[in-house]
Amino acid sequence: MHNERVAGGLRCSEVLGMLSEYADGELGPETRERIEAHLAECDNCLRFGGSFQQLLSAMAANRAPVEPPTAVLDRLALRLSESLPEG
Amino acid sequence: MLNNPRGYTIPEIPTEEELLARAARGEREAFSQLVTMTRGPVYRLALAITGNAADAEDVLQETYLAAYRAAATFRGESSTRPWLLTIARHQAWRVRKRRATAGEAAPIEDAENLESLGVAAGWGSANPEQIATRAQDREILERALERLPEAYREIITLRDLEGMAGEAVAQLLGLALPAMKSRLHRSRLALAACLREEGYHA
Repeated sequence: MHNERVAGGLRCSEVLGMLSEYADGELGPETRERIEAHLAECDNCLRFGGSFQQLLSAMAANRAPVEPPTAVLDRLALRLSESLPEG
Repeated sequence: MLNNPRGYTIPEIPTEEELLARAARGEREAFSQLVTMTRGPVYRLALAITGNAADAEDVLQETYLAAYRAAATFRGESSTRPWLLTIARHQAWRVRKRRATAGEAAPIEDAENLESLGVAAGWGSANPEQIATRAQDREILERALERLPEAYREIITLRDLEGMAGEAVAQLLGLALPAMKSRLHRSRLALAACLREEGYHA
């Protein structure tokens, strides 16, 4: 089981709970500083937190639009032309 | 048309809102343009919720049929993209629920506490970097996403793959902002856990 440490005034489980907000820049400066103080002393949370942020970056890099396959688009166009009034 | 100083005329690209307004007046060409601009995100959301291409295709068609019919009633309460995705989401969940087998419970907020989810994701492990490495591989990431429950896949698609703002995602899902953030965090940890497991099946 994970060792629950207290560093920077926060328990590891508390830092775990805030990782998304931290990565998304949604925390106020005080909380951010406390997390950073924890990470400075806790290698487990530093490594996991870093990896978690890299996961989010990888997804952000994968934001190219996903076009439906051509056959799907053809059938969509057909369905719309059949079902919608001409305009 | 805009003129730039070098003398080229640059056509203005209509906004989705303008296209929808023109579609509401019966302009089919404007509606076709709107479809072209939005079909990617609609399809991706449909796939995320239904989990299969055939259903996602049905949802794609039904979404735009419904959108065309509803265009005249759109009063601009939200911008066009979230409005369209709301329609898509409604269609997709309708299809998904029809497919749910009897007795298949769909608890969204798992009883599993955040810490055990964290452990499954590699928190406290010897090699937490693994999730980041695997996430770089698009195919591995896709496979891991496919293994998530639909509600988790849905929120990650909207927030992390479509890049929608948190408030917009919360509104789309009908959640208060803290509830959205909580589900998002669980979903991301669940995804990380799936990424860790991918290595054992490769």
